[in-house]
Amino acid sequence: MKNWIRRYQIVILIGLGILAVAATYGFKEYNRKLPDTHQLKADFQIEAVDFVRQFEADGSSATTQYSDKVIDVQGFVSSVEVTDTSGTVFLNGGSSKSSVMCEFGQKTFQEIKELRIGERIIIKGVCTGYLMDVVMVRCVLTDKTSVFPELVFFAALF
Amino acid sequence: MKLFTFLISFIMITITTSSAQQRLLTRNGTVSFFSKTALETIEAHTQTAASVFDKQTGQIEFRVLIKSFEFEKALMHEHFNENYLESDKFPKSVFEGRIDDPLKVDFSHEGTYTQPVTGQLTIHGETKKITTPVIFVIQKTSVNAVAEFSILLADYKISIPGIVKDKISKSVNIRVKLKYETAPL
Repeated sequence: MKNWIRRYQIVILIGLGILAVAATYGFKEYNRKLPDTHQLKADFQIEAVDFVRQFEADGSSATTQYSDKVIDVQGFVSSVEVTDTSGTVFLNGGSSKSSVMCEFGQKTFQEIKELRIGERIIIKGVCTGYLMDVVMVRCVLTDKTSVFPELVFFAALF
Repeated sequence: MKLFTFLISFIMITITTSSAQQRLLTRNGTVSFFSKTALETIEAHTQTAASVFDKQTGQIEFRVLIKSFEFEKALMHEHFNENYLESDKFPKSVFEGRIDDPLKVDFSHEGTYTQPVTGQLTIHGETKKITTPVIFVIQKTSVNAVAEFSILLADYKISIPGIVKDKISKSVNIRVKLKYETAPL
């Protein structure tokens, strides 16, 4: 028995090693959480008004293009709703009654408490489609005071 | 002539205002579901349900995007969308129903009423008739509707593969919370 183990000890060690790696990988994969949106790179950058317009013009095409994608949406705050554990920011959809609705979860809703109506902001989130508004989930605030580069240029002239 | 124009405008404004108040809506209702077995408890939530509620007829409709549900674990989120609910094929779940007896809810005063609501629930492309008690809470500037009911996964052709069958309950508990803002009472 002992001879057998001694002879194959390298094989056994390698086998145990592989099992340990597989088990660690399996455990990590099983417990993997959805990534923090702050860490994700945006697939698209879009104006809120344009975002709404695209869904209203051709909902199924816009859904195919944007669903499950990380989007940086820039727009004006039309309303903010905050509860004890979550928040929703609506970005103005222009002449449409619809908005871009951005859901902030338990870990990120504190970011939106200070937002004011009319403020221009950029929100990064994952688009899931369109109901009464364009729906974005797992949202984070990226830049509260963004202005277009052109405006900065003009401001610099004066 | 001026009086006539004024009267017509007055009547039209009254009609549109009262019908606007009659039809309530919310864009960020909460829908949660829970599956509990000896092996695991799985739950998911979303705050993105859209709903319209007609106080006069008692008709309620809500819609939710399946991809909006958030899970604690990424693997569960992926399996839920790709395999169980096939959210690319069936992106929405819809409920269209009506309070069985809308006259039993008095919307003109603050109060709490529990009334059965019956309607068609569509999940994964399958539609089934359900009846569930709904708690209506009438407050000064809002109407809250809360419902909790169970569904059988098999009824909606949601199949769970053998390997994880014991981790997911055959019946899933669903909780819906809708808050409609209203004009002050």
